[in-house]
Amino acid sequence: MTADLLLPATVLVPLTLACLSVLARGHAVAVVGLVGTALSALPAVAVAVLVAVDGPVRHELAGWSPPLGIALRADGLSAVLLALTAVVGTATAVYAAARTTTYDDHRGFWPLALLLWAGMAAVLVGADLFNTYVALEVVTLAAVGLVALGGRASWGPALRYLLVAVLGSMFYLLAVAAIYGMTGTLDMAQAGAVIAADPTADTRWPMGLAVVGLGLKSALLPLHAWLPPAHASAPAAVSPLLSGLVVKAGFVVLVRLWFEVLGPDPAVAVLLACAAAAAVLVGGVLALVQSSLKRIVAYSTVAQIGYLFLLFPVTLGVEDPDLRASLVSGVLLLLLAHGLAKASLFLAAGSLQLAAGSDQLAEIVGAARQLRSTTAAMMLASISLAGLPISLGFSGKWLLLTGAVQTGQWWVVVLVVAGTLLSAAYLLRPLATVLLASDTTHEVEPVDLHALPPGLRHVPLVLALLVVLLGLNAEWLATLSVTGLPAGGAP
Amino acid sequence: MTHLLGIPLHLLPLVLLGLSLLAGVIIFLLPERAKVARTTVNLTAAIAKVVLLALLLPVVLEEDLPAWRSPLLPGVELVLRIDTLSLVFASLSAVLWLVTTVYAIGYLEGRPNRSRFFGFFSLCVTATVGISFAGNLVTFLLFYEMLTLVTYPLVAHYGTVAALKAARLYLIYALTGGLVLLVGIVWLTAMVGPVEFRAGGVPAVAALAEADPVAATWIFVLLIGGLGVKAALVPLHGWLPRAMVAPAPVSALLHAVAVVKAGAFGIARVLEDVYGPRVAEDLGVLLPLLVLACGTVVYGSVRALAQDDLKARLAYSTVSQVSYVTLGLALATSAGITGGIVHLVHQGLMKITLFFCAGLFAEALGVTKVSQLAGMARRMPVSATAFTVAGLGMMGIPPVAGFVSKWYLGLGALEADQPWVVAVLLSSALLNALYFLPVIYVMWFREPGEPVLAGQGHHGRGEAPLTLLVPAVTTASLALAAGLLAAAPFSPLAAAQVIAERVVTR
Repeated sequence: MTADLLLPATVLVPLTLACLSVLARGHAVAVVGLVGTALSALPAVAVAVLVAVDGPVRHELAGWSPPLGIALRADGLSAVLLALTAVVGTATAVYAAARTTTYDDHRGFWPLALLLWAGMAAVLVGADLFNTYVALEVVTLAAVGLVALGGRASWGPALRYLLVAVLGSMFYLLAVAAIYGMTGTLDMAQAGAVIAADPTADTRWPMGLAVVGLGLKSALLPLHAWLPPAHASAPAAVSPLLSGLVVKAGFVVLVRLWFEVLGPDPAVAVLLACAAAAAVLVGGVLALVQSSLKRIVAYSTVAQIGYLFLLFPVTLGVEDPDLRASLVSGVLLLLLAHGLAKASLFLAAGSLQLAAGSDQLAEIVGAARQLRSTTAAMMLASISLAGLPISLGFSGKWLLLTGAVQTGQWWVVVLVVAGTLLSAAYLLRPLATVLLASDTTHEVEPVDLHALPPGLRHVPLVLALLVVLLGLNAEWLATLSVTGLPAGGAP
Repeated sequence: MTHLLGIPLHLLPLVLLGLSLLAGVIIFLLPERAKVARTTVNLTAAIAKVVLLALLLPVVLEEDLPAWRSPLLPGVELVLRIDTLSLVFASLSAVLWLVTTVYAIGYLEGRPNRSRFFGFFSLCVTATVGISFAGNLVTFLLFYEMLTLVTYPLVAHYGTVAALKAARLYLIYALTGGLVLLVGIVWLTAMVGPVEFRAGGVPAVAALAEADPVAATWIFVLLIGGLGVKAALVPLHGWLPRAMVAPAPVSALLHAVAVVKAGAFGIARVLEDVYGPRVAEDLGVLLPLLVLACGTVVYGSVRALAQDDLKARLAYSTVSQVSYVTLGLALATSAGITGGIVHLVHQGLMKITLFFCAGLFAEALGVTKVSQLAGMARRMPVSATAFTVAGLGMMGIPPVAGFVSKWYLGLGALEADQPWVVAVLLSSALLNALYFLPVIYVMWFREPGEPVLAGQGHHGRGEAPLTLLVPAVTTASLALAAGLLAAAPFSPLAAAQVIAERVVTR
């Protein structure tokens, strides 16, 4: 069976290479990192293709069935996120390999990045609650380590991130323990079946604990305060991994719990709706008032996370499978679009910062004249982030909106319209700044193009083009993303 | 006929779209100094498009071309299709792209960021082609929003604080309008499924109007409200006069074919090919739209009167003139629709001439105010003639094209039994005369003033360089020809009549 090899490989290959890259010395570090990235991308993409062709796959390690053994699985959700991990991971690796300044010349980058990848993959293919917890911890620790590469200024935010993430993990672990107490199993499918069969099961406590824990990890407003300093102070090659991938790990686990284990909960859904709406609006306003590019981009992540958490309230009580699929795929396309566009935007911001020596808006006035490729990437990525056509972000927004109108949830329409305007406004500020002819304000130092080798200059543009071109035909991606979607909220 | 020049007919929209897109991409990739290569790419693509569309004209007037489809989203297709209305708009944009490119090459000579300018210029034209070929509402929306985004860098081109402010205002207006349109389209799609344009209206929309007239009316309001921002319907017009900071070729294109016209064209699509005149009439939405259009016609003219800045006067004149299109469509009679659609073309030809001339005066003499134009005709008689022809056309003086539009609009008003609209048309013509005649009078009959005599322009005495002059003369001649030869078989009027007939008889 191909799946038997591929599913474990998605985790084990990056894990092995992370260990190998610790041993490498000198120039070999980047080589091992790049080769490791390429080798790690292979099984991830292969699993995505396998799911697209054959549907969901499942594998029990060493032939032991749960509850004794550990199961791995991949459905549409895993497939699209594995593909996203592969693309963002590869793009970041190419960017990082082009120049060591992108990760502050620190050898720890490659082992940590590959470890992060392994953790992400384990979260995505895990079918077991405890292993998911371990995988989340791996992702968190690697991410904290990566933030700390940003030098002394980043240690404070990294420490804060660590504390918040560990707190989040504890909440999640409590939720896992509660579920184990109720069902006697850690396997998601088995636990879900037990809970579904028992109408008296009280799922509210574990769900509340999980929402707080995973909300902390995903920076869902009001649990978001750790994210902007951490993402903004991380090195150029690190921020894209954090914003593009890491914050989605917690969200994916909550999706699993919500749809497969505990079942939708109306009261929690209302809470999540409020948090999501607040995230979109408050995150947008906060992004609008920042004065440095990377912080604008980081607050934009806070706002965009809100769209993802809309998934839980909007699908509540929607019985029609087509409508559910439309809503779920809409949110998942938004997730993918955010991953790609945000990675592109953070890489572009990193390039600007390297070239101009600062990412303060006042210091990058008129940079468009010299950094054409970077500016183009910023434009295209902003289009997708704001959800304007033609882009994957628009495709996701379209599906979400049509689903919301068909189910009569007009508040979603209002929220999305307001969010779109806000995001257009905060994304326009940096763009207008780089387009401003520098001679119209104070003298601005011309940017140092030598800080940016060619390979590094075009990586953001490639990602941004990808997110735009995917918008030309998102049908297959939408279909893939909901492959194996559970038929309905169990209890 | 299944092929044209060896290209299968259903692929033609893709080829035409690709021509402008490819030109834009190549230009972006060319270095700033590669002037010859850039000009070659620009002109080759522009000429190829004009030729292709000219060859298509007789084919499409016979019957619509087969559509090209590709899946876009679950249940939604990207549909590109050439019908008569698309061809009218696409031909206008192709011809004006060619002349404006020539003009822009001359205008931007020696200025920075030309690669960026021409790249976005081509993308802007790509978007108008996409808008004209869009076969359903979603495809239309994609290109409509793309147009918003690619014109932003053009308006902001000079990179000054004022330019960026105006561009931001434009973007805020256009994006908000786009979102309102999006909500309307999403709502309609949620109710009746993907809406493909069909001359005379879509049956599913008619059924919706029957079953749920309140929702159908609201959707109509959202659609027209969203489109009305670009079409500069009062009170949604605030961005247009401010966007005047853009370089002259951009203003010319914006006012004649790109942004403002895209809005008017969208209103035509919604009225004629989504709702259909009969359904719209039954819903009772036509009269309010007609009143709104008439109000805009008068308001724009009144505001134009008070402007001393030539480009600002022309901008308010656009507000007024583009609403003639909406006015004609809202009359919903054969002659009214003919007048509205033919004015899409006629206004484009006349207004672009006026903007070309305004740019000429500014370039050659540094003159931007009406009061400074005294005696201009003695120094630049050819430019002044082009301006005069277009100005007279705007007033509706025969035989320039504007007369033909107004004639049909008046006829349509009588057919629709709305004689008060004729009064609006007459008063607007009077106002047009009041703000164009003084300009023309000052140019020809006043003694040359200080700016004209001093001639502190780039090019010394006499006419502006040929790259600027030829486009202006060309479009003025086209405006004259469209009026003189209105009865010829392939004139804009003939095409508009075909469209109106198909819409009304359905």
